[in-house]
Amino acid sequence: MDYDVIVIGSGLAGVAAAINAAKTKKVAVIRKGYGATALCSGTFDIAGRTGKRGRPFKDFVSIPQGIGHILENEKQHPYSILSMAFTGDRFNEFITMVNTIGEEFFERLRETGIHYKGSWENNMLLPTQHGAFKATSFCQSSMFPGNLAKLMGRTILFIGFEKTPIHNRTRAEFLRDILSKYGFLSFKDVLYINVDIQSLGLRWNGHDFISLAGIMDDMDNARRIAASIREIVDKQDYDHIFIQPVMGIKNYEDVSKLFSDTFGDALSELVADSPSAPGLRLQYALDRMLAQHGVAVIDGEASCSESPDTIKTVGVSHKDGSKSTFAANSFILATGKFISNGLTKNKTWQESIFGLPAFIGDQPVKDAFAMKYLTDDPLDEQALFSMGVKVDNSLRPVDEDGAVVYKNLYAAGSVLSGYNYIYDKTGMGTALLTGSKAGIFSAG
Amino acid sequence: MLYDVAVIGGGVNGTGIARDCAMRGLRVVLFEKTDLSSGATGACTGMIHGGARYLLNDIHTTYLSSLDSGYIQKIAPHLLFRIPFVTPVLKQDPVPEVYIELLETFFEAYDKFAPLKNGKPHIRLTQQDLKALEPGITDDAVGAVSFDEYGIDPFRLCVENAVSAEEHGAQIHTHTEVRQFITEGRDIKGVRVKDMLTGEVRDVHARIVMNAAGPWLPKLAGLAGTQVKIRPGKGVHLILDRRVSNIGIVIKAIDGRQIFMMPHDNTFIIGTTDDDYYGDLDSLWVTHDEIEYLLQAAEHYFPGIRKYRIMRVMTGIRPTLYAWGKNEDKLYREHRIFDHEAEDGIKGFLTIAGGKLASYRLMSEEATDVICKKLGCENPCKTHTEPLPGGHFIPDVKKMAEKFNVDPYAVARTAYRHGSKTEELLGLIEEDPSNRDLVCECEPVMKAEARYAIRNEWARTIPDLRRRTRLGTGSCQGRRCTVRAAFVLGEELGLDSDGIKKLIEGFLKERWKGKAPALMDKQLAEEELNLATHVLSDSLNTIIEK
Ligand SMILES: Cc1cc2nc3c(=O)[nH]c(=O)nc-3n(C[C@H](O)[C@H](O)[C@H](O)COP(=O)(O)OP(=O)(O)OC[C@H]3O[C@@H](n4cnc5c(N)ncnc54)[C@H](O)[C@@H]3O)c2cc1C
Ligand SMILES: Cc1cc2nc3c(=O)[nH]c(=O)nc-3n(C[C@H](O)[C@H](O)[C@H](O)COP(=O)(O)OP(=O)(O)OC[C@H]3O[C@@H](n4cnc5c(N)ncnc54)[C@H](O)[C@@H]3O)c2cc1C
Repeated sequence: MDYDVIVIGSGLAGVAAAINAAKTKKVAVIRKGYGATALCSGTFDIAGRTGKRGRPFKDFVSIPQGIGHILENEKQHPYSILSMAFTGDRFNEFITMVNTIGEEFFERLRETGIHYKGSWENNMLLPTQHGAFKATSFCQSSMFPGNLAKLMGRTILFIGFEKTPIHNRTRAEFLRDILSKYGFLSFKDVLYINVDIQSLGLRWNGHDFISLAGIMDDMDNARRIAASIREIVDKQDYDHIFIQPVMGIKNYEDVSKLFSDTFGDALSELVADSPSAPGLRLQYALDRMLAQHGVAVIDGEASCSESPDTIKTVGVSHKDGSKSTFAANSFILATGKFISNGLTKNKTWQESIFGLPAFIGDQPVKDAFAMKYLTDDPLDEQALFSMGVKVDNSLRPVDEDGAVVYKNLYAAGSVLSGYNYIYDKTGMGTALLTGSKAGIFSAG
Repeated sequence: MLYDVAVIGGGVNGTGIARDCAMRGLRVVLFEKTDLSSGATGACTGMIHGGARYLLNDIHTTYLSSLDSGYIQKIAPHLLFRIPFVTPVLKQDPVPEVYIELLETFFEAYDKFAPLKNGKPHIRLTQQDLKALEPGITDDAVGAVSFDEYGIDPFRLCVENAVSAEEHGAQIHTHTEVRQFITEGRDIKGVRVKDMLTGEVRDVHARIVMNAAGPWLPKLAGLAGTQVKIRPGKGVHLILDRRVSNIGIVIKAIDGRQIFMMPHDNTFIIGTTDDDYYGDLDSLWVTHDEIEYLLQAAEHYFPGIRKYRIMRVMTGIRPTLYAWGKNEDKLYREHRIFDHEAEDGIKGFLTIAGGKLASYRLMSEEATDVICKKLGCENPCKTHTEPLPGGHFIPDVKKMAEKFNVDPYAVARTAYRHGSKTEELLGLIEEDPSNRDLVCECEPVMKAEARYAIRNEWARTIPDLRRRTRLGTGSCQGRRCTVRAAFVLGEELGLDSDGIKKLIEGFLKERWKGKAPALMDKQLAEEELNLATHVLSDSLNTIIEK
């Protein structure tokens, strides 16, 4: 036996599974690359479904209320499935479990140099780079002071890294307008101003903030930029400053410390378009976490040939064209949704490594047409994006008749069906919870 | 104000007629209910072909097409691109050795028209030649015959005709629908129009009203108290995310219909279907059957085609002339100008129907001749010699890139679309250096070009920008540019947050119509990112009420 547990996928779900299993077992992660975790905006949604279109922010502030709504109304949601194990007060026991697992994980993340802040009670409201807002539960410490719900009645200053102020003015005004309408939040003033990066002698293309974050990984550059922001804002009358998420990627710990030393809690990063520095920081932190917990990493694409009720080995094709095989007692599928191409096989909807049936709600979707699960309005909830494998209470994939397919296979994260992270805002929460539990289950 | 001519429709024919009329000194006004080239023109294959397919049953169309293809190359050299085509012969074809001979004879005949449109004569290719040229073609191909065609950006062609018309004094009103006619007895004296963005309604008087409403023309003829029948043919194209091949391939579908697979800008298109369509012209959706029909045809000749990503589908309705007893493909692509005074006793009303993109100039000339005769105007047509606004010369991309300190690739794309106007456009960078920033990273499109389209080319919505600049047509299909573009429009047009929201919603819906029917395989990854960006990160489903 090469390993006790093999996890396929190294997004949030895979890593959470691996480090939990690694507490007692010998674990390896197989990964073909980065998926949604690396591409996301780096915040953790625990619960905050907006429900109907156009519903105001105050309706989805409370996290326990959001979870309660899911446990009551969404039987297929992984939260509901995991809550089935509880026999007493399902709701309270579930909340306790989420908090315990979450707190422990954030502690592990802190050991990798990335500090998450937030609350298990209320969602916060963060402004986005586009001039909109996002409700979420936890975020990196450099974003945390930017909770708009706490900045009511204040003057907000946006710092852009562009040469022209026009674009930012429209954006700032747009944000003010929609926040008062949908967030019931009003501000004393919303200002905007720009730092000209090129005039600092730095070469930057002017639109790609990931590359600017990369430039900031160099502490000299970060110091120059922080100083030039300091110089500009000192002439302004403001309460809080927002900048694009550019406080480094690999060197985030030092760069964010520099900014908090310079600005205290008066400056924070915006939520940004994909890919963004916070998403990459998170993924790199997870990579470090695997190393810290003694998990082996195997780079390559996993595949598996048919085997009856127990999986013995998976094959891996490496980038250099070579192939190898690994044996383990248990396997965890954490391959994500469509981004890593995990739900189509042989032109039909199937999980792509083991050929597990894909479900939308209770229905297997094998040969269905995509249009059947789409509406004509892209902002409606699109059921197609809730597709995934269906699992039992111990996260083992089941077939169309509800029977467990492989005794030693577990699944976690966005490869699961029964929830729609795009709309129900439980993305990272589900990946973290199902990942951690799958790790625990697989270790027996 | 009494206009000489009011044109209904901003497709290639409407704008072509507006240009010709204005150049002959007439006072022209044009109304387009959505946007320039938003009808059949924007949905077409974009081939300025010599009409080889009409060679057998309609040789006159081939001659005229070839001749006009040559003219269009002279007036819009920047917009045309050569597409070398091959017609492969498969071993499954009935008696392939004979078939390839027949093909060659056919293209020998077509070669006679080649000089008219600067085409290269055909070449007969062996199996090895063909494989060397395009390794993706099936091993079943025993050989092929090549021929030359030209492609064009139909949106730009339309817009440049409109800009030229305006330069000659015409008034162009987009997002303005003709709702009704002003009549005196049966005669048409003008039109009642509604501004679809502001809701304002007004009357406009004209001596001649020209119905160039493409597939909508029967509806307008009906409003005017007469009847013009067309045989509406729905055509679908698949758009792949890259240039799968640099040559065009002529293939046959399961029913023997001819289909093209060809590179177009940074994409590759496969099409088209041709089926009778009597549904809602303003809400066209593509079906799974249509997609599969095209994919199966493509796969037959290019076995690996399903490995590529279909980003999107597009569809439109051909306004084909009505003829009983012919299958869709045999329908003449010929055109007709209906003089309703002579035919139905309705003075002041004309309809133009049928035709092809490739012969728009000729059709416009004929229509303008009829109008001029009625109005007593004797000025000659000059549309075949006078270049379109960007067609005066091809700019030096390297020099421009240096002068304005912009990425040469971005300049090359802009120069393709704007030709001799490129320098004027890039001048916006001097006004504001951030105009060199990219709004659309895929294509790419600079802010300068977006602003230029809003200020000089009537762009009012994000789909309007898309038509003029190809913004949002690249592999991310609007993920990065939708919100950015909305803010550029917002700045230029002075919109409030409701106005900006409407723009965003409009574009998301428009893209969705093209993306949703073909959502499969690898494209799902892109769409997951797209929805996560707009819905999860930016909460647009909260901000934009239903
Ligand atoms: C743009 C965007 C923004 C988002 N923003 C937020 C947010 O703000 N808050 C929030 O809570 N959630 C957000 N999400 C959702 C969240 O990112 C995902 O739900 C979560 O990251 C899913 O994690 P995962 O581990 O299940 O999958 P992934 O992170 O996708 O990981 C899948 C892993 O599996 C590997 N893999 C797949 N197939 C194979 C194979 N055959 N062999 C080997 N390896 C394989 C991949 O390479 C990858 O490493 C966002 C998502 C996106 C796309
Ligand atoms: C799928 C397909 C592929 C094709 N491929 C080619 C090709 O490769 N080569 C070629 O030469 N030809 C091709 N054609 C044919 C060519 O596109 C058309 O013949 C040509 O574009 C018709 O132009 P038009 O101006 O008459 O119509 P349209 O472009 O449809 O213009 C009519 C306009 O009138 C507007 N309108 C309608 N009602 C009103 C109203 N009440 N008020 C104001 N405006 C109104 C519409 O919005 C529309 O923009 C193709 C057509 C299709 C559909």
